[in-house]
Amino acid sequence: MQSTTLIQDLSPEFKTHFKITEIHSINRGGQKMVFIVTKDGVKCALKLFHNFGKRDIRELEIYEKFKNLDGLPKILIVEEFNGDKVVFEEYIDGSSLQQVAQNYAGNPDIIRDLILKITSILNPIWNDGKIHRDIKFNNIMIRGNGEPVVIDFGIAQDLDGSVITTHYIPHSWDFASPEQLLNQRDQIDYRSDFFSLAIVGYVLYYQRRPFGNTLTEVQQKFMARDTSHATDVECKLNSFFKECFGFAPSDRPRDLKTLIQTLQW
Amino acid sequence: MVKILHQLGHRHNWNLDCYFDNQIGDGFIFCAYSFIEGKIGTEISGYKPSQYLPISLVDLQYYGYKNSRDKGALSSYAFHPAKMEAEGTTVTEYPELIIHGIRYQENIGINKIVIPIRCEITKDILRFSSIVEKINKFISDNKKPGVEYYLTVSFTDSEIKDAEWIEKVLTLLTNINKVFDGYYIVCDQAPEYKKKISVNYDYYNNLSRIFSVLKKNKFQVIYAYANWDAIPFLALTDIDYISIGTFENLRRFNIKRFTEDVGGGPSQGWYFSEKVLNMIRSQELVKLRSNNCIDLIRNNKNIFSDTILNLAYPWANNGNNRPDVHKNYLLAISRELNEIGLKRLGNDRINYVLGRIAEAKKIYKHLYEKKVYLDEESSDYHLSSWETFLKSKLI
Repeated sequence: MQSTTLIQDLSPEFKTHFKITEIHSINRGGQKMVFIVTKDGVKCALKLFHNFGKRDIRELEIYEKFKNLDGLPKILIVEEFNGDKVVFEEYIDGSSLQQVAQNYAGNPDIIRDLILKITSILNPIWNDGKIHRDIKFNNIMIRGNGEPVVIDFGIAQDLDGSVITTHYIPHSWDFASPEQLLNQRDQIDYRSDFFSLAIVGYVLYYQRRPFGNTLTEVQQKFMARDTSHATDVECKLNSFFKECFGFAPSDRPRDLKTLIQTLQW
Repeated sequence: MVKILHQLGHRHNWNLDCYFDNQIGDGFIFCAYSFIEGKIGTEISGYKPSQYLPISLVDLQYYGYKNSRDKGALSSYAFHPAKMEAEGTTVTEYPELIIHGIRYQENIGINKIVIPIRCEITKDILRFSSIVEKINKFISDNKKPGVEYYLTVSFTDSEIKDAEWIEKVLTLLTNINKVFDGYYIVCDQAPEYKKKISVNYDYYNNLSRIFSVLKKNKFQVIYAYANWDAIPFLALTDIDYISIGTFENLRRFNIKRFTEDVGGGPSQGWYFSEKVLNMIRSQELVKLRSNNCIDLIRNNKNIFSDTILNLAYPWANNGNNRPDVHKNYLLAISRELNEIGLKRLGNDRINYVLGRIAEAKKIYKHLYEKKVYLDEESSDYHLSSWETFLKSKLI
């Protein structure tokens, strides 16, 4: 945690305008800076955009549309200040799944519980014809009370039916579906998220990747239409892995109900 | 259990008689090419609408638009694209014409609607998707209770061999937003010269994948214009409905039939033998008879077979236009398919069909040993392909 000495990154006018009394940390990115601040006595995330692009607009639209979902960060304020877009967002008091992944090792029951909670967060979004497209450990926060929050809808995509007209390959190759990694843009749909979720479950259970340890390894496997993966015979999650790791989207569960059936034991 | 539907076209009275007199099949698919608008829903070949409509589907055959004058009865339908073309009108309101086609079927009391759609030969998934989504939205908003809706999905010979195209189509068809009860699958295939069915591995593999993926996604599947190569497909998937047809154009979907003038040559007819799982050219029967081998290929308990294998049967006198020749096929293939459909899906069923193929190969071998060589279409050209394909699917 960084100290309040970083307060000089925000101008006095800015702090006064937004009633910021404390800065806890700062993260500088190419397009935006993220501060964890105390505003009006409440800890929150401040995102300061130099270039507020399409992906940022899309993400805010999703947060706004689904603001009633507990599993998404709440947007508190969106405002322009001196030419920059300023977004205050709920501070998620917890850890990223990356940080706590080892707690899930070999425990199918808590993994199932987590997967079900994530799917219940995403289901209204899928039903609205949108997909996340970048489900991975770092985009899943676990609150102090154990409840997950899905973040970063920056590359989420409207499906407009089922075929997308633009594409975006996620940076996180290790959680990507075959159609994402092979850039088969018109194959990407909500079942791409199913695939990524199964990788999340697999890595949590086995603490290793299912399809290889490098981008090249995984790409080669997918190019051979191969999604075979090592499992323990007795692992209760095998049915979930088998169904959601279908190579093509049409091989995977068609709906959430069918996906949930693979998690029943 | 699989249901057998008669694909009705030329000489449809034979099929109707087969169903009502001989209990062959479970229903009908009327092909609009052979029935002018207003005919379906009236008495046909002595059968009342109340007898056949509840078990009937209508294929309005929007597949392609002919440049030729021969549009059969298609241009008699006020809403049919073929009529627009016949009148020199550009077909611009295509989705609306599809909706007219749906309404027409609802209005005559059909309870399994086949949604007519053009055969996409451009492999343009965005265009195809756009049409499918419009129709899907319409069905979603207008679905009538008690009525099932089956979207026609056609594959040209080039498309069915293109695995990438197949995956795009399957992703589209199985998306959660689809409200269709099932799909009406028609597939072109290009058998080699002097062959009646394809031996192309991709054809079997890809079409089989279409059936199995749609079923896995809980859609009902109708395999229309099916030939007896439905046997290996049914060995692998619980296809809900498979068509049987008399003339070749009802057993093999050929897009050219809807876009060009395709003439059929004269034929003395064919004998379908369940023993060798193949059609045998009538002229070849002379060879078999002369070498005392006719019983090797004779169908069991089949009155039509008994009639046409009679020495006096006038094959040479326009044999292909004689009802018993076709009814023999209809009875033999429907029995074969029903028997396969009764077997438990998986290795049990595959092994059963592999056993049938092995028996057929044994008969061909026996004929060979007796110096009886069946040529071209009548030979065993397809059996090894089926065997290889099915063995690759054993679990």
